Amino acid sequence: MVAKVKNVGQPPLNLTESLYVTELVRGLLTTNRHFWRNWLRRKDTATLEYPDRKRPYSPRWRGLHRLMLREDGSPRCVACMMCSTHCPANCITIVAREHPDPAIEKVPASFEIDLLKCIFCGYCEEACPCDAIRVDSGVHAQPVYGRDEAIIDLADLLSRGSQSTSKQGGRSL
Amino acid sequence: MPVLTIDSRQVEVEAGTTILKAAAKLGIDIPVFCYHDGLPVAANCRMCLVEVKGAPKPCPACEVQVRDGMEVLTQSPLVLEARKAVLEFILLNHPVDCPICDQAGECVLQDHYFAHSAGPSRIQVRKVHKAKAVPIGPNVMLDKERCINCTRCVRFCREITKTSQLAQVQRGNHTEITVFPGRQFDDPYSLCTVDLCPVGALTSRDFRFRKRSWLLKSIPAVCPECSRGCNVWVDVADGQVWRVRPRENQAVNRWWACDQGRLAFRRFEGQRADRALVDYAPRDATRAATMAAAATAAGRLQTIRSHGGRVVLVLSPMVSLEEGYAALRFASVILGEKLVLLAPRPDGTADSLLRTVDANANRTGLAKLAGLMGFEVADLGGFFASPAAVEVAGLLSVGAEYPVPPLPPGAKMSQAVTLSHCLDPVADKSTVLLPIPAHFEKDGHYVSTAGLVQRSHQALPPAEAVAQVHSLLSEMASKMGGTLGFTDLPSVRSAALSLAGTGEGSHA
Amino acid sequence: MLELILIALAKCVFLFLAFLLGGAAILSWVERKMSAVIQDRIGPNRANVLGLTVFGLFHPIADGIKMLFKEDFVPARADKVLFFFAPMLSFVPPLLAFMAIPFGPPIAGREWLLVSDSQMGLLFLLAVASIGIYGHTLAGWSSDNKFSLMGALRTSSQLFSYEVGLTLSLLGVFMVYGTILPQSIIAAQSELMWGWLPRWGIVTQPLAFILFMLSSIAETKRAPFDLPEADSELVAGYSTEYSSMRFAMFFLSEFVGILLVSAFGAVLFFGGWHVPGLSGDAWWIVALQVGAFLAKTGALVYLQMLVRWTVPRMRFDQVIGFGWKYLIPFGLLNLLVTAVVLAVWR
Ligand code: SF4
Ligand code: SF4
Ligand code: SF4
Ligand code: SF4
Ligand code: FES
Repeated sequence: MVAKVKNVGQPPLNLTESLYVTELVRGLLTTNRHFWRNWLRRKDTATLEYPDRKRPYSPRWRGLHRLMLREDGSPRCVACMMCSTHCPANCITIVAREHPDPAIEKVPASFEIDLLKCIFCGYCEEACPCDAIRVDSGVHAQPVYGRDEAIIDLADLLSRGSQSTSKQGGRSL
Repeated sequence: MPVLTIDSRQVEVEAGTTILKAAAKLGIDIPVFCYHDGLPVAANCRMCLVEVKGAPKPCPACEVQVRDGMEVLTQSPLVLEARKAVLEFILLNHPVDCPICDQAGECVLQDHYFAHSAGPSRIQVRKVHKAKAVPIGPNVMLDKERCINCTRCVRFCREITKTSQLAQVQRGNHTEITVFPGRQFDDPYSLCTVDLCPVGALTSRDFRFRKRSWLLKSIPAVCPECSRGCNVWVDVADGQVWRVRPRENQAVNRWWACDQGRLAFRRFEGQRADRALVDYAPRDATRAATMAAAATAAGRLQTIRSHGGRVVLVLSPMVSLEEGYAALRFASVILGEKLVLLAPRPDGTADSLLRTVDANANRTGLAKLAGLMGFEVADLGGFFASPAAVEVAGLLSVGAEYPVPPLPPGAKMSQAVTLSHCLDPVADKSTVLLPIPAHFEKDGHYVSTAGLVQRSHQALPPAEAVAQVHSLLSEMASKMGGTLGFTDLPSVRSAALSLAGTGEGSHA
Repeated sequence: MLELILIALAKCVFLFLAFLLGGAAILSWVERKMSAVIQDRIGPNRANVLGLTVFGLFHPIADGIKMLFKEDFVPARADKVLFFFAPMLSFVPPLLAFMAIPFGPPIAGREWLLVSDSQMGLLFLLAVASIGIYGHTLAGWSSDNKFSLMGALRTSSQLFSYEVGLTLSLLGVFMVYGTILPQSIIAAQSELMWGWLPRWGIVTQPLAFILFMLSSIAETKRAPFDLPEADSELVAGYSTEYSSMRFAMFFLSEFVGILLVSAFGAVLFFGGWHVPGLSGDAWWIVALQVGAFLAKTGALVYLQMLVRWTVPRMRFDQVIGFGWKYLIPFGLLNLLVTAVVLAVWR
């Protein structure tokens, strides 16, 4: 394949520009203007003083995962492994177990996500047929001292969980 | 012979052939649920409806036999409409709980729905719900709502195993599969109904919830549980066997396999020899340490031999032809023996379908191989009871799974070198234990009781310290100043097969 | 005698501690804050004492404390002796050079505000300040690090080139005022031309002022001439291997250098402490004059910082080429014109 080359021309400098001095002075005037304007009125300052004030995140921002809950507080997840199958980083490890209620039948015995591998693509949320896993917690992954600590487990995922408004369970229509 | 036209292509078939088979001959696929090659036709699901010119309504292709000059349409608007309607009907009360259904991924209902319907449900009333997760037998779990009433399972128990343990009860919406009151579904072939069930109504209790089907990789192998030599698929993932399913072979097991054989892979989990033991002390779990232990064993056997002592070969009839050939060759070239002692697994019980009495996968092949190589074959127990056993100073056991019987009083036995995949019954009887691959970890040939040579492929990689029998014995031979005449598995294989048979599928 | 020594000591303490070290520390804050403000940022504002941040003015103090407690790392194969002395060699000369800078007029006939009223005058300043080159060069040489060595080579060639231009630009000024003594130059500048325009250097020698500013920026190794420590190419140039207080000395010497050339420029081109129309011995007049000197110095510091945060770094061959091909010829031209004009004038 022949690479497409686009030549971007450089506009020629006119006389005053090529003298350099005028442009240098213009530059100095610009920085000078910014200095005095910001010094006196801080009008253009874009800095947000992070830990004290935070930029509001978009609701679509993908942060730490959470597992949603049923009405009784148990996990909605049925360990179908759609998320772990779909995960491009292959970082979800689920072990399923039998649920005593045959209407629920299958629940995760353990549910681990290796945050060091996770790329926060949100495909797990897309794949989940039960609205069980979500990446909308708005929480950042925290730095850790050891690799093991970067693996979050079922309890941690559920601690950020809340109830979903969507219906679940085989006893509806 | 009748000639008919299917989708404007002509085909000539035997009289009495069904439309389904005639279409298959042309490579035309007709969707089915209840039809199965191994079972009598029931024609109750109506998924296979096709249009026959002149017939008043669509006909089930699985049942209707061909007539000369028949004209069949499998893709006409009527047929497509009929398939949609059948699927909608089947799905009326289906729970569609695919996320928790073990069948998902290999479900015929899912496949047909995607291929032929993919329409939304129009049902406005509450679905009929039935019992879920009913453990109807030791190996099988029944989900009554997922059943599509194809009766494959019922027909299997009635016609193939003849136990008739399953039945269909109630009517209409409420039809369900059940066992008789107070009875268990303990048919020795019960897991075949799990394979037969096109949906997730019957699932394996052993495999239940362990792995999703799409994560499994299937490797063709031969079942080690009896001398029938049933062909199986070994389903592996993450370096582990999760499930064993029958592989169709009309000459051996047709579509079936017994529950015991399917669950036999559990025998190879745990209590594994994963490193060499010398004088009961474990060596490093590395290949090099195993080879060093083999050299130690060779040195000890050499000492016995140089003092004129006798070392005899004990062979398990479970090992492959390749392993057996390597061991026999070692015995004749290095040990100068013409006697091989077979240490078989105890007999099982035969049944009318597949199971044989002999629980050893390769006795036929190894006995023949030993005979061709000029060996006298004797039974280990019988030999140990004889006075000749007293003179034996060393034992070389290959593939041992069972403890050696007690030695006669005054025996001079000083060394027992064992090549085995298991630890439990043999470790404390062996002065040197060398780890070898278990059944599903090796590539080898086995001869069934009917004399058929069959290949079993390697499904899993063995542990790091585990070495193949031929490489261990070659190493020992070179340490004892001899050579066996082969270096790698293909050369052992061609030597063994040129003696015992011409290759896979041939008769020994 | 004792009295003289005590007075000299007092002047040194005032000069070094209060003005130079304090000034350099504050300049490090000014630089950070100013760059931030120019770039629409906020800049340092976190260090606080009891919750008071005072525009981040505690940052230089925090930095100093941090520097003190950092590990003083010496590379294993460094030349230990030179590595030890190099920072001092670059730190002390700019401080010494300040001895020739008058902070205010003589009070009651005595030079209270000038440390050394020596007859060498401003030549002393030029001579001493050049010694600093050795410090930087030796630092790079002794570090046993190729980045340091490259930085050292660049420092020596750059500083050497611009030393010529700097001196040439000064000669014109010395010729115009006919003296090299700082107080005499200031006195000469306080005369009025045409009755209203002070005879400041900027008026009589405008080209010399531009040349002086350019070469002094190069002498202090600041953007756009900061090639000796170009971070993107040389990590930190000659000071790459330095840490802790040794690094702080290089750091401070840069800011003392800025103060030095600014004060020098103020004396030569802006009449030093001279305020048109103000003369006398009253204390408030002296105070105003000292304030004027500081203000003029500050204005030049501001100019240098503005340049640094405006102009991008040049290529090294451009830097050297500019020094030799433009700065020196223009310096010579300025000298020639000044000489001709002076000859015609008299
Ligand atoms: S966000 Fe993406 S990478 Fe992370 S667990 Fe989900 S699917 Fe995997
Ligand atoms: S989180 Fe959702 S997709 Fe993942 S296993 Fe649970 S139910 Fe399935
Ligand atoms: S039987 Fe098939 S369609 Fe029904 S729930 Fe199971 S996978 Fe889904
Ligand atoms: S349980 Fe399965 S095999 Fe049996 S009738 Fe129902 S769908 Fe068919
Ligand atoms: S397959 Fe023909 S009716 Fe079921």
